Parts: sequence; structure tokens; C-alpha cells
Amino acid sequence: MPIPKIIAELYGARYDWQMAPLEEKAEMKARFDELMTQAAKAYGRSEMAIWIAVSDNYHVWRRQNRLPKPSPKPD
Amino acid sequence: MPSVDNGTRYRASIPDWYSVRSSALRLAQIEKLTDAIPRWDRTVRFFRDVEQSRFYVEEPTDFDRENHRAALHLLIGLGRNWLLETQNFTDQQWSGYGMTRADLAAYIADLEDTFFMFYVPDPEPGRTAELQKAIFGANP
Repeated sequence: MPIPKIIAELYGARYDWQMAPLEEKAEMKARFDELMTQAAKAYGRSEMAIWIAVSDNYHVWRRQNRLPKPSPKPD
Repeated sequence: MPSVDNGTRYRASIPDWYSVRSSALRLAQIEKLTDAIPRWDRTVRFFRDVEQSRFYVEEPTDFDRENHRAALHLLIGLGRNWLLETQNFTDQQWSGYGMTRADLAAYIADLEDTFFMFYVPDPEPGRTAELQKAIFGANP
């Protein structure tokens, strides 16, 4: 069964938040939070319950959809 | 040195976990936040590369999970400590760092959410299973 659109958007926002440069972290987190609110409303459950339910599948989604280029090794 | 799979994908080696942890521990010795926070950012990004390789490209071992968990504790602790040290910073002081307090807080929250996803057990697995069925259907 395909992932619901709102959950796929949530996964994308979670990934963008993680990958954002430092100076954009707050903006990307705000986008994720907004989508979490929408998902909580859509399923009639708390945001935490939604994220607990979908976060396992996020790892599967990551494997299938997002393999970023590596960053330079730190000092 | 990390090995590279035909130049297109980074493959982390076990010593890379040591590099992440030792880099994080060295950060605690840096006094100037204008030096420490950008280096913390680079360390977190390298941590994410190792995580990508060991958790998403391959299947993690217990060794990976122990090191991942320890690294998260170190990186989150450093960030949280800096949030406390900068709690009276003005906007002008933050502008010198090229970010805002909200950015640092959001960065730490990103790491904390990773810890939550991987290492905090579900307090109500039965209810979660029902919700998963509602979201993903019979076979999530």
C-alpha cells in the first residue's frame, strides 16, 4: 500500500530538517512541525503518537528515497 | 580514512565511529563558541555520513548501535550546554554566529529526535500498531 501523501511529505520534511545547513534548521523544523500538526489533525491523534507510529517506516523511506552525498570529514 | 565505494557512495568503517566520538570530545575543550559551534556542525555532518552508511545502506550491528547512541549523547550534550551558555545572548551576538538561537535549538532537536526514533521504546505498542494499520493499511 502506498504511503499516504501527508506522511510522505512529513518524511521529506524530516529529511530536509536533518540535512539543512545550520542557519536554516529552525525554518526546516517549523515546516516539519506544521506537517505534524496536519497529520495529527488528519488521524485524530497526538503528534507524538503519529510520529511513533510512522518513524519506523521513515527508515525504510530513507533507504528507498534519500542517499545524500557525503560531507567532508571533520577536524 | 573512510573507504569510498567507486567514488559515488561513502562506506563508513568501524574506526569512523571512534573519529566521531573523539572529534566530539575535543569540541568540549574549545573555549570560543565561534570556533566550537561550526566544528560541531561539521562533526554532526560526519556523524550523519557514518549513520547513513552503517544504518541505511547496510544493516547496523550492535557495535554500530552502541557507538551511534554514545555519539548522540555527546553531540546533544555539547549543544545543550551551549544553549545554556548563550541564554542571555542578544540578537546582535547571535548574528555574529551566522545563525539564531532557534537554529541551534532546532539542530539539537534534530539529534534528540534521532535518539528518540532509535532508542526510546514505544510505551504503548498495541495502540501504535492500531494507528499504523489506520495509516498504512493492513501491511505497513
